[in-house]
Amino acid sequence: MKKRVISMILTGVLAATVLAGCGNKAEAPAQEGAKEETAETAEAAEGAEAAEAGAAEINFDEDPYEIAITIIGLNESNNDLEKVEEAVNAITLPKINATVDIQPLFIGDMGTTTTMGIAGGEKMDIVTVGLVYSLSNAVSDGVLLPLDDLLAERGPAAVEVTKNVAAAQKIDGVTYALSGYPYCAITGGIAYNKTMADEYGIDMHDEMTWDELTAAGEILKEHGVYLTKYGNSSQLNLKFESGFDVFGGSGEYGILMNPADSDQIENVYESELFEKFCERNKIWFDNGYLPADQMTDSTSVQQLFADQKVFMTSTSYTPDQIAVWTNPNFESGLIRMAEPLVTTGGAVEMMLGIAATSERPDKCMDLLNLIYEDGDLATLINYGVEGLDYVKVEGTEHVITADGTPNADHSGYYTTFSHFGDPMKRVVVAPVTDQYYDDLKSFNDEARTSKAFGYSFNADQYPTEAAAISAVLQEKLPMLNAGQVSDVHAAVEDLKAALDQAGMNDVIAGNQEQLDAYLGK
Amino acid sequence: MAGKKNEKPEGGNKKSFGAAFLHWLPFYLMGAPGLIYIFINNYMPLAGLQIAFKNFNFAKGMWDSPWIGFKNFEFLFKSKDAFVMVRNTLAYNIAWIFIGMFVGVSAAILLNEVQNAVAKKFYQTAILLPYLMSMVVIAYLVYAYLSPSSGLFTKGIERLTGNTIQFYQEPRWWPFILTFVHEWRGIGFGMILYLSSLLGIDPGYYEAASLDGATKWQQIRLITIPLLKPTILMLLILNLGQVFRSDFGLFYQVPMMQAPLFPVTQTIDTYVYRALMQLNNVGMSAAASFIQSVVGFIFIVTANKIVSKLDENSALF
Repeated sequence: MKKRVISMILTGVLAATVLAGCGNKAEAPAQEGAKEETAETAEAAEGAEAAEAGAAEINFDEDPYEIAITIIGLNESNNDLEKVEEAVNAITLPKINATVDIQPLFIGDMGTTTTMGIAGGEKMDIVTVGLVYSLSNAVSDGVLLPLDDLLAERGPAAVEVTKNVAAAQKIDGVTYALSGYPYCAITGGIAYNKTMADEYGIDMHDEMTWDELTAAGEILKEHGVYLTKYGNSSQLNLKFESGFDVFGGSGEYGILMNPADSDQIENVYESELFEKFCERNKIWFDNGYLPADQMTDSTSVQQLFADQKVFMTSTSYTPDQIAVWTNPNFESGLIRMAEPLVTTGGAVEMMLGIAATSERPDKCMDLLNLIYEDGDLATLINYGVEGLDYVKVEGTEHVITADGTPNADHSGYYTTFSHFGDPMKRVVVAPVTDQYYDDLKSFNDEARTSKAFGYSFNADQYPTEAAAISAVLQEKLPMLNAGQVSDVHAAVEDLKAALDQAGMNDVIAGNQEQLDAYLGK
Repeated sequence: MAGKKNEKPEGGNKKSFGAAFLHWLPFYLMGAPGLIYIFINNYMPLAGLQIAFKNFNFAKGMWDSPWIGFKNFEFLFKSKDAFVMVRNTLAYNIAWIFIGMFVGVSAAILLNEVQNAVAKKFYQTAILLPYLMSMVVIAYLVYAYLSPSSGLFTKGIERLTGNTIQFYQEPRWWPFILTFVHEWRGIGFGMILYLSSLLGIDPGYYEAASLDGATKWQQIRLITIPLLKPTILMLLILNLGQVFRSDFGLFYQVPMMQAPLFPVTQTIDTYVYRALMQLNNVGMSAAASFIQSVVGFIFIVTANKIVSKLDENSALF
C-alpha cells in the first residue's frame, strides 16, 4: 500500500516536471518572436536614423499602437481615467500614432506587479521604477530594456531634459530609465504648522538646531500639542534632518555623511550623530513632546499633522514640497535642515523605463520623448483634464488648484507618486507660485553635487546581508526612533553589534570598493 | 511497506488486466476531476521548488535563471535571531497542537451533550464565529483590552492594583496572550472534526453503558475517547506537518508589530516577511518555504512511523 502511494507521488512529480517543461518550450518561441520583433524594430529604427538622426519618422500607415503606462498612487478611485486617456490620445495620435492605456498601481505593489507582469507575459510597456522598487533592483531583475540606442534614435527631447542626471540613469554605463526628477537637488527639511508657530511665538527658520526644536517642544507642550510623532518606524529618520547621501532606504549599505566633500562611505549607525539623535528623541519622549502611545497608535503623522495634534514632521525639502503639506484649516511652513544636494538617490527617486517584454519599444520611446517635449501633455498626464480635475488659479500664469473641482476629494485622477516630463514646462500646484520656476533653477544651481553622483551600489552579491540588516533595523530601530529606550547608549551598542553580525560593515566595504572603482581610483 | 499483514489480494492477479480496467473504469472517471485538480494544484507547482536554489531573474524565467546552490538559505541563519525564531515557531506550534487537541475534544464532548437542537446550533455558530474574523480585526479587539492608555483590561488592573502594565512592551505576557487568542479563535474550527466523529458513534454503546450503571464520566473515558482516538491521531499527524509554519496574522498583527515583543513573537514567517519586505527576493522567499515544507514533511513521516508502530490501524499511510 505504502509503496504504491510513494510510487504514485513519484510518478506525479515526474509527470509534473515533464509537463512543466513542455509548457516552457511552448512559451519559448513566443519569447523569441518578441526578441525578433525587437530586433526588427531596432533595424527599422536604424533605417530611420539613416534618414534623419535624432528624429525618427513616425509610421502613420500602421494601426495605432496602444502603450500601457503606469501611474503610482495610493489606490485612489481615478474616476476620470478614461477622460484623461482620451485627452492624451488626442495629442499622441496625430503626433506619434499611438494611444495610451494608463494603469494606476498601488505604490506598495510596484515591485511585485511589475516583476510578476513581466514573468507572466502581461502587456507592459512603460513601467515606473524608483520609489519602493529601485532602478538597480529592476535592472538586476531584468525587467528593463537598455535605452541608449532608442534615445539616440528617437529621444532628443528626453536626452536634453535629463542631461544633468544622465549619469544617474545608467547602471554599468547603460541607460535603463529616465528620471522623473531632472532637477533633482533635494535636502532634508521640516514641515510645520505656521499658524500655530505664529500664535505661540515659535521662530522657525532654516537649519534650526536640535536645541531650538526642543525649546519649541516645551512651548507646544504647554498648549497641549505634540512636537512630532515617529511612531513604530524602522526608517532612518535622521536622514530627513541632514544632507546625507544615503545608500539603501535607511543607509543599510552605508552613507556619505559629507557627500560634497568626501567619498568615504560610513556606517551611520556607528556615528556619534546617530547616538545624539537617539538621545534627543529620548529627551523629547521623556519630556512628553511625543505621544505616549506613539508605538501602538497607527494613525499616521500626516494625519496627526492635518488634525493639528502634532506641530511638525520631517520631510524631504524641494521648492514645491510645501504643496504636499497644505491644509485648508491652517497655513503650513517648510524649513530646510541642510544644504541642497544633488545625489543619485534624488535623481532615481522616480523613473520611467521600458519593459523588457514591450512589443513596441520604439513607440514607448516616442511617447517618453513627447512627454519630455510637450508641456501640455506632461501637465495632462500629471494632473488630469483642466476644468475637470484642476482649474487655473486666477491671476497666475502656471499655477493650478484642485479646489472647487470634482477631483478635490482625490476621486478624479491622481498620480500621487508619479512625475512626468520637464518641470520647467509643466504647471505647478498652489500654494506654490509662478516664482517656482526661478526657485527650482536657483535651488539646483546652488546645490552641491555628491561625490558619488551617478553611482549606484550593486547589492546583487549581498542579498543575505541585505535581508539580515533589514530584519535587524525593523527590530531595533523603532524604539530608538521613538525615544522609548531606558539606556540610549546600550541600545545603540546593541544595534551596532547586531548590524555588524548581519554583515553591514562587509556590505559597506564592498560598496566603497565599487564606488572607488566607479570614481576610477 | 513490506511486512504489513493486512494487504488484501488484488483482483488483478486473477482477472485479466483489461477486464479489471473495464470494471474500475467508471470509478476512475468519477475520480478524474478531483485527481486532475490535485495534480494541477499540488503536483505541478513542485517544479517551482528549484527557485529556492536559483538566482531568480524575472526576465530569464524559472528554467533559465542560474543555479546558486544554498545561497538563498543563508539569510535565515545569518541573524542571531535564527535560534529565537525557530524556537518560537516550534514551541508555540507543538504546545498549541496539544492544547488545541485538549480544548477541541473537550468542547466537542460538551457540545455533544447539549440536547436542545436550537441551543446546539447556536453554541456551535457562536464558537465558530471568531474563526471567520480577520486577524487585523482581532488585533484591534485585543488592543481594546490591552492598550496602555485606554485598554479595558489595563485600566481594570490599574484600578485594582495601582500599577499600569505596559502589555505592548513586556514580552513575558505574550506567550499567554497569543495562546489565549489562538485558542479562542481556533476552538470552533478545531472541534468540528471531533464533533462529526462523535455524531458517528452508535448511541447503543451509551445506552448499554448507562444500563450497566456507568457514570457520564466513565462513558466519556471508556467509550467516547477510545472511539475518538483515530480522529485525534489523524489530526495530530496532519498538524505536525505544519509545525514549521506559523499563523502570520496572529504573530504579526496581534502584537501590533512591537519590536520589544520580538523575543516571543518572532517566528520564521514574520522574520521572512520583515527581512524580504524591501528586498522582494523571490529566491530567498522560496528557500524559506522550502525549508518549512521539508521539515513539515519529515515531521509527518516520522509521526506516522511512530503511530504505526504503536497502533497500525491509526496510521495515515
